[in-house]
Amino acid sequence: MMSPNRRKNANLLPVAKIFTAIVVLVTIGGGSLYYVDAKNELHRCGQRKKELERELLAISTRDEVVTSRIAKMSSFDSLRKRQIVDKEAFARLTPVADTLVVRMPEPAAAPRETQVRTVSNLQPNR
Amino acid sequence: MGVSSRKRALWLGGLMALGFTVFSWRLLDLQVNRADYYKAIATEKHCARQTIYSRRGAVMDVNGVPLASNEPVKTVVVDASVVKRPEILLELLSKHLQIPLGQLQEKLTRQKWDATENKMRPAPYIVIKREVPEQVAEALRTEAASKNVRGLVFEQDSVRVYPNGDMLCHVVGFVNRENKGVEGVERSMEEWLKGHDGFRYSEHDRTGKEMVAFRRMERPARDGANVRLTVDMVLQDIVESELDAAVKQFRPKMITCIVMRPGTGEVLAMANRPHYDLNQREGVADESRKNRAIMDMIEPGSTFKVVTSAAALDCKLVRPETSIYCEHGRFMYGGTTLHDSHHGYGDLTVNDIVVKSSNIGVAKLGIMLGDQRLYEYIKRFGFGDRTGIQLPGEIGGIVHSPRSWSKISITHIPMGHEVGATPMQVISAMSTIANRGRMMTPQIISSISDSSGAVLASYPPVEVRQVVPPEVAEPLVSALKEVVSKKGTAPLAHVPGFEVAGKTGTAQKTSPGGGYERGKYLVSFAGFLPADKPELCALVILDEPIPGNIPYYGGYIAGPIFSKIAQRAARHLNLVPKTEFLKVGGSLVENKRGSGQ
Repeated sequence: MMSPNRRKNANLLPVAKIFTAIVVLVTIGGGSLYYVDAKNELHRCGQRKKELERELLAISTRDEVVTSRIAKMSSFDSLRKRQIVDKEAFARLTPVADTLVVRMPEPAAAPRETQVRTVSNLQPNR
Repeated sequence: MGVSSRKRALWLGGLMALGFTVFSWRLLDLQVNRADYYKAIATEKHCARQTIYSRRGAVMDVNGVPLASNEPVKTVVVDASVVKRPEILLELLSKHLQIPLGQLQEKLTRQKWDATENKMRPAPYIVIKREVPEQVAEALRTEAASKNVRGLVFEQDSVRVYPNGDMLCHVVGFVNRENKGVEGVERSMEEWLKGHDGFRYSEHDRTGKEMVAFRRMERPARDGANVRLTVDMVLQDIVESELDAAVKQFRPKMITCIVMRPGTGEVLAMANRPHYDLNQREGVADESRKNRAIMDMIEPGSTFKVVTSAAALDCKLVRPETSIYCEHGRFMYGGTTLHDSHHGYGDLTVNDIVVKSSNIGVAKLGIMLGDQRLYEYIKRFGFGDRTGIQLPGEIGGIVHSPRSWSKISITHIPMGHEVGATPMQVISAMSTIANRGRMMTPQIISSISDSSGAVLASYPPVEVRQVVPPEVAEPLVSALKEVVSKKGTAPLAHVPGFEVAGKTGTAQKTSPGGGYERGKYLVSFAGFLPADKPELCALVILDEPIPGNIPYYGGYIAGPIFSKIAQRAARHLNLVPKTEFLKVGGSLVENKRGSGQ
């Protein structure tokens, strides 16, 4: 026969210990799951980063292609060739004839604010 | 516990301890002793080094007009080991890349020895075509994706493009297949232009895809710096178009023109004929690739007389108004007779010796100076040494020391014979006179900047030396002004609205076998304007022009070319013309030019 004290001891559930164990296990499990999720997120971010890098490269490449094409089309060489092929359409750029140039003397410099100036006493005709 | 069981326990314990010791030793061996070795193997398997390519810097003119830039292209590669439907791939490649089917088939059937499987396998890396334009590559990629074709790889690359083709070709230069500068600024500024590639270490999964989250060490690429020249493409265009017109009219073996700002030494334009297209260099003759402005050695002829005159004036042997007897066109010296090419003159002042370009007069100035002093002044004007312009391949020319001069050298050197000079040295000497005796280093690089526009280096004007004082240069400028008058040898070099100073040159060409070749001349004109405050100095040289009914002189052939260039250049540079200089000697120069004189 088992003594009453021993029975009492044998039937007792170690609730505190079980609770501690559950908490520990949940914490470890949760932490692990979070770790896995974080790791996956890291991979997803990495993939997104790679995609963005690819897009950025594609855009900068397109930009370079267009810049290069603009430079070619607006170059002096290209304009000269176009002028030879299509004299009429090329902005009709003709050198200004010397007879059409009005040459003006250099303007006299305006006197400074503090400079003493002569005053004209001429009266307008009445 | 009996003895035997105790012994057994000891044995077991001992064995276990030994086992653990062995494992521990192995662990230590793996983790400590051979750690680096295994780490390297693991890294090699999962970690790859990616190169981040840098961009080569651009070359541009003083106003930012691009002269050399990069254009992205693709290299089309096929991994034959993963190709499933080769017939569709062949058709696609042939259609988009314009390659014959037979040629493609030959490439795609290439095999490579696989050492692990001990057999031949389809090659994993076959370059189909390089420098494929982006649009073509994109179209190919799209169609391949829609037809589910595997094995196509597009590698990013770039090619150097020169938007202006043949303009300024000798200055800009070009790069080779490895993107390394071969000629011109591309070569001399290689260190600035080339940039530095970066790298990145990153881990890959078992399929070979990069695991971006596990990127390790990374160093970004450093793009090359942009080089800004002193050249103004509008002026360059003016020079090039006038040279083209001159080539049509005179059909010379070569023409060189340099336009410079005398006050700073900046080269504003530089062109040579023959020339070539920088984008189509295959089969171009070496002669066309030569930048004659700095690599050709010529006898400068009469333009050199300014050097002798300046030396004589600086040594105070003569004054501008000092009279020299010019022997009426025939001067016996050292057993040979020296002639004046235009007319025979009696007494001429030093000023008129320059204006009339008298060979005898200037030879007498040389005799007065003596070997050593003449040699010193020639060297002081920069002849015989490289000017230091930032272009590769510049030569220094030849100026023999007086010890090796012949008896008649003292009469020939003063008029620009027996001296080997580059066109750059000639314009540099004329710029020195224009700059009132102050010699500047010719510069073609204005500044270096990074891709954000921040200036990394700039090239301010560099003074070489004060060759002669302004009091000596001033009367010489007066004489050079008269050269471009009815009285002088180059009235056709006049520029309406501006006072021009300059000097003509007509030199008989030297024969490779010694002496001079009959009927073969090198004509030139070097001048500057406005004479009193020079903003530009230009030199035009023509080698063996065919003048037709025009006299074979620099003033008649090179002078008008200078005039046309200077007239258009002055308008572009916004130089204010003056009404008193609209005509030369009372009649319009345009009328004379029209008559073909």
